[in-house]
Parts: sequence; structure tokens; C-alpha cells
Amino acid sequence: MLHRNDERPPTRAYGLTTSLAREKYFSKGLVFDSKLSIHCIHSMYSGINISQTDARPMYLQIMEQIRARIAAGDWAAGKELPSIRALAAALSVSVITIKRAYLDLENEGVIVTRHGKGSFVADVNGLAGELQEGKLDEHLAAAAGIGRQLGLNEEDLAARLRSAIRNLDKK
Amino acid sequence: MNMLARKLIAKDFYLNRWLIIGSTVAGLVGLLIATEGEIRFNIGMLTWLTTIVAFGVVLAMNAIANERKDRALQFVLSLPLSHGDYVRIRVVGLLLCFLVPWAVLSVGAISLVTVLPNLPDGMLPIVILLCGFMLANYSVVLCGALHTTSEGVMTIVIIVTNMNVTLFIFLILGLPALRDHLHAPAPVWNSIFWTVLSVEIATLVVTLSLPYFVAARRRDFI
Amino acid sequence: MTPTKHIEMRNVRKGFRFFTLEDLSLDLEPGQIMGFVGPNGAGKSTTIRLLTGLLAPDAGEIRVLGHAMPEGQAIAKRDIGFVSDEMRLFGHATLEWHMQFVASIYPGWDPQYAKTLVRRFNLHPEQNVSGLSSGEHVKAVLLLALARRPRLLILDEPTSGLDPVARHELLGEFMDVLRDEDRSILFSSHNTVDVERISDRITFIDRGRLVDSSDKEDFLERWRRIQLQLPAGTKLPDLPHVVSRVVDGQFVTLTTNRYSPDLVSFLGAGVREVQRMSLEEIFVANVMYHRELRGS
Repeated sequence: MLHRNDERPPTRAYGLTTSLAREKYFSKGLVFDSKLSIHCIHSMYSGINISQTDARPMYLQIMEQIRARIAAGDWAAGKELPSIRALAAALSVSVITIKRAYLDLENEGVIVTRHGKGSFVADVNGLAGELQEGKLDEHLAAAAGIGRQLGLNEEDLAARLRSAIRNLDKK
Repeated sequence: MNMLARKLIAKDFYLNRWLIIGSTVAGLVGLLIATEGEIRFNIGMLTWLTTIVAFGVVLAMNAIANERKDRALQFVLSLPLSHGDYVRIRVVGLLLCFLVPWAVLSVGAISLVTVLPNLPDGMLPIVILLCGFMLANYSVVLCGALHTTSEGVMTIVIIVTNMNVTLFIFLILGLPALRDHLHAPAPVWNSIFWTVLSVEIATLVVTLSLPYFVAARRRDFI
Repeated sequence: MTPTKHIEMRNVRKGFRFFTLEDLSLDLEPGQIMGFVGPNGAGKSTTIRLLTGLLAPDAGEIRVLGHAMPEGQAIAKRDIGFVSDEMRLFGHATLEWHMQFVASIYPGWDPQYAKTLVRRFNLHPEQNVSGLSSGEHVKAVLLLALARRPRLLILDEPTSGLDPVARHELLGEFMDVLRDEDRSILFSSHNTVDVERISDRITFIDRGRLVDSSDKEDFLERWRRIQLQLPAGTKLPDLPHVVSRVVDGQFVTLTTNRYSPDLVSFLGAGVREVQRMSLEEIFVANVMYHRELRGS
């Protein structure tokens, strides 16, 4: 888990820490902190993890973890996502990868990007449910595929599903 | 730029502080020894002379060749300066580093001759020529160090400038125009004196300006 | 912020006795981090020296932060942090002395950040620089560059010789730099895992020539290994964008640099697997392909 324990110096407006009377070597623009404070960002995405050994591309891993949090309700509808650069810095992943993840999530309708304002969890009723259902369909498709490989017919597969549900109730 | 130049020259002084102090002390000790008797005079003056020459060589070698070898050169060149700036700052800085002990020891030697009654003032011209020689010698070494990356060439420069010291002394003491007045009670400023002095000054000017025109113009530094 | 590119190289040529950098063009936009990858002797260090004004090009144009190089280097370097793994500090002075030295030269020096970095990099300011191991030395030089908050960082093998913890810290610092979309980084590295992870753009160089320069995600999407199983004796037509073909009996491995699902449909039932490639695999395949093309 890429989580920093000591405080990170927030990006700051230049000129505050240096004497303005000094020779003006550099012409720098003012640097503003990202929209969320550092503390906020920490509590928002701690736990998002990019695995080096996972064969799936990084942008897909990020998308999946964001979708999971929305589906679970941790990231509520309308909640603001970390800025692309802030998330990139926090995960030590390239900006372009985060950009791609956000873009694809937007195409899926999972998040909404307002130009100049940031990205937000899409405020669509039942989005969490929709995502969960999408996950279910994925798993069922995988199960069907394995079932076919094993040579199970529809009935056998259904029976196994029922027994899995029963096991769940037992726990 | 000025701030940077000052900082880099201060750096030269800081990094070479023990060398500067040590040579000054050694040279002064040599002068002290030279106060009594002929043998002690010879030893003392030799110490004084060698100290200054050796200091010059070590200073130039340390500062330039080692900086290159130690790869601190890349660090310096990452600072906001051009190659020309670098060369100019080096020349000024290393010259100043040398001038401090040189000035102290030259003034010391001249004072010694003028103040002490057992040392005839006729020695003054030679002493002055010697001081001038050592400054000129150093600037040759400095010029060499700034222009060559080859250790071989540097070694040759050092050997030659070391030989020069002995040769110069023989030359000076061999010229009747100078030797004859060595023991005179008052200094004699004859034309030979002025000629030798001019040559020294010319060498100084040439070797200190050459880097500005040659080394500073180099486009590739590494 | 400023629309000027941070780095612009156009058809740069630099010749040495046994090596020539030829026709090199490179662009770096503000807010980007570019990974510069190439075999040893490819010309990475030469390129970086050209960018920092240590060398002057024989032909072509170089502009860094809008300044022509090497002419404008004195001004450009006020805003550039250049670190190479070969760089050393002044022996017989402490890290603290160096920090004060740099702080007095650059107004952008951030003493708080410097203190944080000292802790993160596990360095001791009172320690004499000559006593540092080579990895610690690199960390010290990086600290001096990072704490000034320069607009452009040019780094030649910054992570070589660093232990995994130090590397992790360093990469974190780099990504922190990029929170500011007016700052950028160019770094050369053999560590393709790191390059793959944090770079926005990647440039491959081999034997003095540019091999490829593109967005990282572009590389990762375009390149694929396709494993086929075909009946023995099947003749595969010459397919476009197939960079290499390895035949082992019935099993054929194709490497393509312009993957599209059409290619897979075209190959039909023989396709057993389509594999993504790691940056390292892409790099090696790309270099090999280009060497073939050039007849080396």
C-alpha cells in the first residue's frame, strides 16, 4: 500500500518562503495546491493499490478499484474524485495512466468530469447497484465458461450455484 | 551572476583554507629562519621560495585537475553559469587564493630586507624580482591547468615551472648587473631590473588573459 | 501556464571519434515526465549533456525552457535541476555546507522541504561528503536539486545504485514534482519497471539514433505478442506491422507494433493467445527491429 506516513509539504505559492527583495532570477507562476487538501486525499484513496505482478494494465486496475468503491457505496454519488495529478502523485503512477482511467470511467458513465472543476462520481440513481450487477455478470460469464470447459450442462451448473447460495446462508 | 561568482570564489577559499594557512605559516617560518647568518639565510629563503612555488602548484592542481577527476566539475557546471563564466571565476578565484599568502610572504620578505640591518638593502631588487617571478610562475601553472585535460601535459608544466625556479635564481645571481649590487647598502634600480620585471609582468598578463580567450570559448566541456 | 515546450530538440547531430548521435528530435511538454531508455552506449548521456549545455551540437537545434542551448545555458540552468549518477560534490565539505551553498545561489530553495528530504533519504547533514557511499552521494545531489524546486529536472540514471527503499522514496518525490503542471522531468534509466510505471512519455534510443518516442499508454496498447498454432507447413502471408516472427514447428510467435482486433480476426482460429508486453519486452523488440531495418 503506497501510503506516506510523514507529512508531505504541500505545494505552495512561490515567494512566500523566499525574500522577495532578492534578485528575481526566476519567473514562476504561482503554484496552487490541488483542489483537495493533502489530508483529504489520504483518507479518500488510501488502499488503492497498483500491483506490479498483476498482468492487467495499470489503468484497468485503477478503474476496477474505483468502480469497486463506488459500487460498495464508499464513494457516494456526487463525491469529488482526487485530481488527476494528485492521484498520480499519491499512487506513484504516471499522470497519463490516471487520465486514461478517468476517461474510460467517464465513457462508461461511472464518473462525470466538469471542465475546470474536476471529476465526480456520477449522480445516477442505482449506479452502485448497476456496477454491482456488472460485476455479477462478469463472474457468471466466467463461471459459464469454466462450466463448459468442465463439460457441465445447464442443470449441473445451476445446481452448483444453488449449493453455493446455501453455503452462504449457513455462514 | 555576481552572487554566484562570490560564492564560488568563497568556496575555493574554504576548500583550500588549510593549504593557504599552512603555506603562509611555513613561508613566515622560513623568513624567520633567514634572519641570522648566511647559512640560515639560505635555508630560510629556500624554504620561503619553495613554499610559495609548491603551494601554487598544489593549489592549481587540487582545484582544477581534481575537480575534473572528482567529477565535481559536472556539479559546478550544473550551476547557472556558462563555460566562459566558469573559466573567468576560476581564474579570479584561484588567483586570489594564491595572492593572499603570496602578498603576505612578499611583504614579509621585503620588510625583512629593509628592516634588518644585517641584510643589505641592495638585495631589494632581487627580492622583488623573485616575488614577481613566483607570481608569474604560478599564473603559468594556472593557465596550463585551465587549458589541458591531459595529466601528462600538466606534469610537464609542473616539472618545467619547478625547473624554472632554479634556473631563475641562477640567472638572477649570474647577471653581473644584479649580482654586483647585492651587498650594496641601498637598492639599485637599473635597466636589467626593469627588463626582468617587465618580462614577469608580461608573462602574467598573457597567461591570465589566455584563458579568457581560449578556454572560455570552448564549446564542449567534457 | 507557459505554452513553451520545456525541451525541444530538432535533428541534432553530435559526432565523436567512435560514435555519432544522428538526427535526434525530442519534445517534452510542461507537466510531463519522460523516460529515456536505451542500451549502454546508445547516446543517452550524450543527449543529456547536450541538453544541459555541457556539449554543443554539430548540427540541429536545441531549446530548453525556451532558451537556445548551449548559448543560453547560464539563464536556463537557473530553472533546471541536473543530476547525473557520475556527479560528485566537493570533497571535504559537509552536506550542510552544500545545502547552504545551493540555498544562497537559488532563491527557490525550500529549507523545510530540504529537511524533509534529509529525513526521507536517510542522510546526515553534518557528514563529510567524501565519506558517503556512491548511492548516498547520488541521494545528496538529488536532494540539492529537488529542494530548489526547479521547473525542469534532467536526470541521468538517478536510481542506479539505489536500494529499493530509496528508489521508492525517489519515485514518490518525482511524482510529487508533477503535481505542478508547470514542472517536468526527463530521466534516463535502465530500470524499465520504474519507467513503465511513472513515465507519461517514453523515448527509445539505440546507437545514436531515435528508435521511437511516444506516450507510454500508446506503447502498451500498440504492442502485442500473438501466439499461434498452425498446421505444419502453413505459409503465413507477410503481414503489415509484424515486427518479428518466430516459428517453432507448429507454434508461431508474432510480435506486432500496431495491434488491432482486425489482425486477430484475420489470423483466425490459429490464435492461441494474445499477450500484452511489458515495457522491457517492447524496448528489446523495438530495438532489435530497428537494428534489422538499419542493417546493423
